[in-house]
Order: sequence, then structure tokens, then C-alpha cells
Amino acid sequence: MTRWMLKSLLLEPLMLMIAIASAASAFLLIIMFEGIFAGESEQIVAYVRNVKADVWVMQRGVSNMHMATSYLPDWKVRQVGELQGVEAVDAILYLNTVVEAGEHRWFSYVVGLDVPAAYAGPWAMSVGRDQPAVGEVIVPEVFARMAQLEIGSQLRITDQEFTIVGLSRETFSMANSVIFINKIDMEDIMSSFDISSFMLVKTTLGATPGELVETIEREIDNVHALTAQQFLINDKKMAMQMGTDTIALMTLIGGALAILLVAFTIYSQAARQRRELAVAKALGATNGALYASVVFQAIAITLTSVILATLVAALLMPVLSKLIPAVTMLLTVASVSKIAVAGVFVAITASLMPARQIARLDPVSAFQSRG
Amino acid sequence: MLLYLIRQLRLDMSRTLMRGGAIAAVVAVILVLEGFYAGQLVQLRNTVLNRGGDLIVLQAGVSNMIAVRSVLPQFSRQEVEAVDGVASAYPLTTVALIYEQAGVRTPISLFVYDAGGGPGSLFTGRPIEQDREIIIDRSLAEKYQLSPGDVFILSDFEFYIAGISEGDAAYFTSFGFVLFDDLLDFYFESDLADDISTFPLLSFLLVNLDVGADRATVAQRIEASVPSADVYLPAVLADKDEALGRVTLGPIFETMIGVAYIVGILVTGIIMFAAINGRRQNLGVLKALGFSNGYLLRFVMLEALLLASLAIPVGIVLAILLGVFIESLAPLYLVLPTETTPLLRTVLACWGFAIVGSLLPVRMIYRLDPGMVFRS
Repeated sequence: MTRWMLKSLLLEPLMLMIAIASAASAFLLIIMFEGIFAGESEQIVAYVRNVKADVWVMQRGVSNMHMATSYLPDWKVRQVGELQGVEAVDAILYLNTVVEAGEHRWFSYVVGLDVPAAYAGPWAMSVGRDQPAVGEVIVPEVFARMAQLEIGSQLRITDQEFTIVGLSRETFSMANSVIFINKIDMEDIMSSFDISSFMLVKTTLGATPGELVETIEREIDNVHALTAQQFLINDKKMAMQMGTDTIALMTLIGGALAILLVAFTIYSQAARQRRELAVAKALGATNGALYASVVFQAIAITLTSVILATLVAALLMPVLSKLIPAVTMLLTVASVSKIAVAGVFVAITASLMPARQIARLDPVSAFQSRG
Repeated sequence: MLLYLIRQLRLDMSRTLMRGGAIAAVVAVILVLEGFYAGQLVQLRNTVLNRGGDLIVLQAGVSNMIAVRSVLPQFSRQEVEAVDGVASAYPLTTVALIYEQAGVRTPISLFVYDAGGGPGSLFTGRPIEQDREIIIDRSLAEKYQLSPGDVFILSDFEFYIAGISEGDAAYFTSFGFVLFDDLLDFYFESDLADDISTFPLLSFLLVNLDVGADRATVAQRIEASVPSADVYLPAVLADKDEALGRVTLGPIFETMIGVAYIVGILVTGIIMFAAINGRRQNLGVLKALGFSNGYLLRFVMLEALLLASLAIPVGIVLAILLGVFIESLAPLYLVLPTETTPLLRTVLACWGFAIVGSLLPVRMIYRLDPGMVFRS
């Protein structure tokens, strides 16, 4: 039985290759879209995920960083620093705005660091310093490469000029590249003084983030404290609404096309074998065996296509990342598995229609001329 | 040749429909992706152009309206209105806030306006007439199932929805509109920061000129008398916001559209190859009857072009329907699948895909043995 199914599958190698190539093209589309979605979803919360805070403190009513506005007077930063269970506090002042360098303009999240910042600054440096003095800026290395900037180059934020003193890694994203300046400069830009946006708090040994959150909310008026884990969840949720949701929608549209193409391929493959399966039926094969053969072929073609598409995507993504550094792509086992499962489901469904027609076929038709 | 081609396509109608349908689906998806990107850019432009005014004054060094913070000194309105050629200057302030209802949070841009710069067009309800009233975009209203008359709580401050506007969203953010009279109450009574001086009181000035006044001259005069401000023509500022959108959204959208084009070429090529491979017998007959390889090649190319030409209009209609469906599902997005340039690009690309696809089996056609038809 298995041998017959395999022989049936390999009967027309060229058509089989065409079917696999066609389905693989559809899967490639969806794997690439998923890759972009996964990459951007991770990168959009790079700052919150990578800084080493245990607890985030912000203005009451605020619970994330992405596109949020939070202001806290600096005396509250000092109050938090004196609480039991607090080892250190890094305060940042943050603003989303456009950064200009020559002809290049980029939307960025500008983080004003209270220098020296222990852990609120860039977590991975490519070159240069990670603590900006007044008039200095640290930019993502991808941003620098795209805008042809280097250490010592000038960059403009609103009407102020800054000198690049460091290039950071892992801080670039389509929607929110993170750049770092001194908090004094940020206060000047915002015309607001002695304020911070967020406090990044580290707990002492033995204190848990959950306990510290309770202490801070009990002791300090009008602030909202969250564990780093919860803050990351909140921020990702918000960021997903702004941008990555669009990618998800586009991925859905691409997915719909992929489903259609896979269904078309599998249907054509099964329909093409009608005559051969009718012969098998005439020779005594049961309807169950015919269904099994068609479904087996559908699954085999689909899985081979997914593997082929994954290999092509794995080769294509590093090339595209080099060509288009602004786009972060991530090929994950989870997304490929999800696509494979959906693909197999679609393929089985698409193969059942011609299989049903074959099951109803009069075996005698196999011996009638094609006419 | 054309008649024979049409007969060939009609011979196996179900297969022709499937092949045409697959190509139409490829066209539709590419057009929707293109339309999505085009829609985002148009939304960015409209944010500026729908505010009105002959000139727009911003904080010096700021050259965008969307997603940036612009703060003008409070006295700059009087200074601008004192400039020769200025008829009026309407204040406009934008504040980025998060709206929350039942644990669901959504970022919104609150536009605080006076006589100009308010909502584009009302979908339902009425303009603001009383204190504490707000107009919100349809995308936000539908997301939270809000209607005129409903309470809209923003940072613990109660607004009442006077109307629902349409087309007031950009950069994945819905807009809300309130009058300046409510701004200070909002700052004082809401649970915003302890120090409201951190929030902008004036972001932009929408300047209307005296009749006959030259825009460029007046802009220069304003910049000279208010050094802390830059002045832009609305169209120029709209260009800048669109350019920012291209920089921020372009790489990702263009990559996705590019991938869709590549897959489109592959799929159309494979479909054409499979179609021609399936008709080797017929082509063999033609060859046996004396038709040249060149003739057969032209024949399959014409068939591919004909099929693509039939599929393109279907793809366009599909894309329009898909766009309407997406907009009704998520009014935050504007999908413009029939913008001239992307449409032309997609149509040309589709014909290109078809030609490439029909050329794939060239070798097979050239190697066809006419004798095969007599051996079957």
C-alpha cells in the first residue's frame, strides 16, 4: 500500500516538482512575512527588554513606554532611592521625535540619561563611549551605517546639534530606533526641568520585584510601579498595536494567498491523478485506500514545500538583512511549525474534494477511452 | 491565432478559471499590500492638510506634525498675529495619551484646537458646542463601541462624545479633538503629571493670511520676528510627514511588497509552465502540422498574456473588495489599492510575470518531438 502510494506520488516527477515549487512559493511568502513580523515584534521592545531594571516606576495612569508620556518630578526619584529594598535607581527622560543627519531623517526614541547611568544606557556597544556628556549622542550602528555617520559626525535633534560619541548595537528598529543623549540636553529640548519620565529600579539582594512594587506604590504618591516583566508585556502589547499589528494584517493577507495557492496546487495534483486512481479502484482498491493515497500525497507535497521554503527563507533572510538593514527578520521554529500545521490542514481539505470525486467514480471509466 | 487561443482556454474551463483565479489572487494581494502602504502615506499627508491654514508655525527645528513634540512659547500667537500680512493665527496643541477602557489600552493623539484645525469630517454626531466635549475618530469609536453622548474618560478626566469624525487617524494612531477651553481643566483635573508645565500648551499655529499676501514673504517675516519658530507651507509640511513615513515604514512595506512580487513571479511562472506542460500533446500536433518553434513560442506567450489580461481586472476588483473589508474591520487603516503608480506597476509586473512564466518551457517546446502525437 505504502509502496503504491509512493509510486503514485512519483509517477510524474516533473509535475510533482512543479507542485512542490508552487506550494513552496506560497509558503515562502508567508514565512518571510512571519519572519518580518517576529523580528519587528522583538526589536520594537529592545530597550525595555535589555536594560537591567527589576522594577519600572512611572507617572500614575501610565503602564508602558511605547508612545506614552510620563513625567515624574526628580524629587520622587530621590524618594524612591531611599526606600528599603532599592539598590539603585536610574532615571531617564524620554521623547519620541525626529532625528536629522544631513539628508537623512529618522523617527527615534530619544533617551535622556542621568550620566553616569549604571544600566539605563546602551547595553551593547559597537564602538565608542556609552555615557553621553552634554552635546553628545549615541546612535545605533545600523542607523549610522545607513546615514553614513561615524564617531565625531554631527546630528540634529529639534534645533540642537549633537556629536556622535558612540555606536550602539541591537538598538535599531523600523519604528523606534533608540538613541541616547544626556538628560540635561533632553531637558533643554523639552523646556522642562528637574523631571524624569521613568525610573529604572534595581532591587537589593533578597528583595523581590513584586514586593518592591508594593512598597513604592504605598510610599510614593501618584506613581505607578511595575515589575520589569509586566512592563515588558504591557509595552509589547502596545507596540504591537502600533505597527506590528499592520504587519500581522499583511501577514494574514499573504497567508490567505498562500492558502489559496496551496489549495490550488494540491487540488490540481489530486485531480491530475483521477484516471490512475480510477484504475486502482477498478483493480480492487477500496475508497479508504484512495482517500489515504490522496491525503498522503497532499501531506508529502506540503511538508516538502514547507521544508524547501524554509531553506530558501533561511538563505534569503541574511542576504535581505544586509541589503535592507532597516528591517529585522527572525526565522523561528514556532512560526515555521505553525505554517506547516496550517498548510497540512489546507492541503488535506483541498485534496478531499477530488478524492471524493474519485471515490464516486465508476471503475469502468478507467477503461473507457479519454474521448 | 487569437481565436484558437480563446478556444484552448474555453476547452478546459475549470482549469482556466483556476489558473486565472490564482493569478488574480496574486494581483489582488500585491495591490492590497501596495494600497496599505499608500494609505499610510496619504493618512500622514492628510493629518497636515486637513488642519487648514495658509501657513503652519512649529517649534524651531521641528519639521513634522505627526508623532513629534512641538512646543511654542505661549506669547508667540500674539507675535505672529502682529506680523504684517497675517489675518489670524489659530492655536493647535497635540498631546500623546493612552485611552483605556476595560483593560484595553490604545494610544491616541489629542488635538486641542480653537477656531481652526479641528476634525476633518463628521461621520455622526455634531461639532463641539459645550464644555468637556470631545470628537473622536471612527476607528476609536468602533474599537470601543462608543457613540455620541457616551462618556469618554481620558486620564481620569470625563469628556462627553459630541461627534465621531472620519479619516482622522495616522501612523497607527486615532485622533481625538477637544477645544482649548477644556485643556487647562484637563491638565489640572486629570491624573497627568504633578507638574503640568511639562505638557505642551501650544504646539502649532495655523496662520491665515490677509487677502493678496504672499505666503513666502509672510513666512520669512514670521521667522524673523519669532526666532523660536519655523514656518512651513501646509503642503511642504505634509511632504515632510510623508517623507518621514517613507523612511519609517518604507523599508518594511517595500520588503513585504518585494517578497510578494517575487512570489508572484514564481507562482505565475509555475502556473504557466504547468499549463504548457499539460498541453504538450496539442503543441506536438501543431509542430507536426508544420508550425515553427517561434510560432509556438509566440502562441504560449500570447496565451499567458491573455490569461493575465483576463485575471488583472478580476484581481483589481478583488483588491478593492479586500480593501473595503479591511477598512470596515479596522477603520484605523486606509487601503488604497487603485493608486495610479502602484496599479500601473502591478499590471505591468503581472504581464511581465506571465511572459517570464511562458518563457520557462521554451526548452521543452524546442525539444518537442512531433512524432509523439502519432505514438500515443
